[in-house]
Amino acid sequence: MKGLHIFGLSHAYGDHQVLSNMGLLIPAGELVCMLGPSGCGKSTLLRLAAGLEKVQQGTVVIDDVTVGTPDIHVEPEQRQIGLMFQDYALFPHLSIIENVTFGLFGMASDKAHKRAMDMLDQVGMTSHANKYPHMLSGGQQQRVALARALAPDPKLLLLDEPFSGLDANLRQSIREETLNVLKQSGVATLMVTHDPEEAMFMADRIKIIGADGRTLQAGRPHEIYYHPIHEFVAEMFGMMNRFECVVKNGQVETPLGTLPTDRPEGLMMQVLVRPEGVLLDTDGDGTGVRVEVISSHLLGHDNIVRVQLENGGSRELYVRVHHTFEIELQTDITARIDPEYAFIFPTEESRRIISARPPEPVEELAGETIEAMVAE
Amino acid sequence: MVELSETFQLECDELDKDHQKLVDMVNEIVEMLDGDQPETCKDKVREFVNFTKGHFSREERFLSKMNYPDVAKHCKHHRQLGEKMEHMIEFTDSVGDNEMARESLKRELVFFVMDDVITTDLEFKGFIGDEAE
Repeated sequence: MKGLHIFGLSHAYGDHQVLSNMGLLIPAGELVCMLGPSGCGKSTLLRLAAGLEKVQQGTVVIDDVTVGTPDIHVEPEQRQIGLMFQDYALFPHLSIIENVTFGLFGMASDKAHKRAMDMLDQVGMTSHANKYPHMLSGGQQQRVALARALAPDPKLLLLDEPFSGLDANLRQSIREETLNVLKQSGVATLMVTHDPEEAMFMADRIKIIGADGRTLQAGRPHEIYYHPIHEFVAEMFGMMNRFECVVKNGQVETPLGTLPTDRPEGLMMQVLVRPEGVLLDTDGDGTGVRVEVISSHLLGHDNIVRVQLENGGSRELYVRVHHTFEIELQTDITARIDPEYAFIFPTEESRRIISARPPEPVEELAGETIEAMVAE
Repeated sequence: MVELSETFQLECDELDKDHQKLVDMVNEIVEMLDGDQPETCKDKVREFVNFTKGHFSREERFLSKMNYPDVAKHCKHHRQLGEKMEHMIEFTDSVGDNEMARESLKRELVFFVMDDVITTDLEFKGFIGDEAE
């Protein structure tokens, strides 16, 4: 299969295990983001894919060729990969066109020049071909770095926090341009980032890595945001309101109302609600719980409002509302939960209880047992 | 077309046969989605989901029988894929007149079978290889 395939990858630095039995697949033309906290092993994974480190355990395959196992190590320059880092890593003493042709060794110089100019054209940088890196802005240098990485037509492109050195406005436009160029090129791309918004914007698929170097969840950005399967995943995307409740009669009762759940009866759960999942009403229809506003901060398009439950002691909640909701003009405010933004997970103690139970059997199809297949 | 090349082989005939069938089904669905009547893929996607559930069941019995130490974790992973499979069926309602839905379903199927199912299964390749020796 064209693209990157990694399986059973474990890696340690001394006694510190940074990756544990990691698997990853990126077909050609797809972009997968590894998202996780600092030190979770995502950059190590990228370095192992690139061949910058030797594999201790597991297998790295690029376009159906095994390039990394404990016994096989294909050198980085033999792997046909492109690399792009946060610091652009352009050669300061070479012009822009020389930087882009640098990786095209072995190609006739006229062909290399044409290829480099084509790539600079794709990223809108042909008019800067004879300048030097110090004459360009950060965004322009990153465009050149992308052109240089793609010029040799790599089988795999590896991006390590490529936009984190850019300011917010520039980052948005460079991301979009980069994505367009990558989709046109059809290359398999692995990007590592600690920025959830960046991952959501760029990725066809996101893999969330936990602090222990294991995959916690993999899926489409929509799936990761709206259907997190672990509280760590849910909390990666910003602040959360948290309640602890016991499951009773198939639901949990939060201070803002009840939510249905299929979690085991009688166990303590933590209910996480995104700030946009707390809805403020001013029509007093009686379905919400009365709240008092503590503070409100405009973030541009939205406001982040801090509210206190009138009957909830000192309990405070964060609420995200549209900027047109002018809190100063409201008097009778109630709050309720939008279930789409509320996630229910076992507490640590409940997780231990659940883990000790045997798993429920999956739906089984008649006659199709592995024993029967072996007997055939 | 998705191909199950050598590096995806578990070297356990029974499970590799299952994986091959899953890949064949994905290729059939992708072909239908690229054809004139993409909406007709719904039954095939349901069939794919049912076969996947059967595969999970067979695999769990096999791993239990082999005393695979991480069997509970693997079973949990299978349960977590349930929602993905339901979403795939939901997607089929939109594929008739929605190019983005077709592309999303194709992408989801390929990642599901090749990464979520087969690549994750490769975690126990070493274990069953050692047991066989």
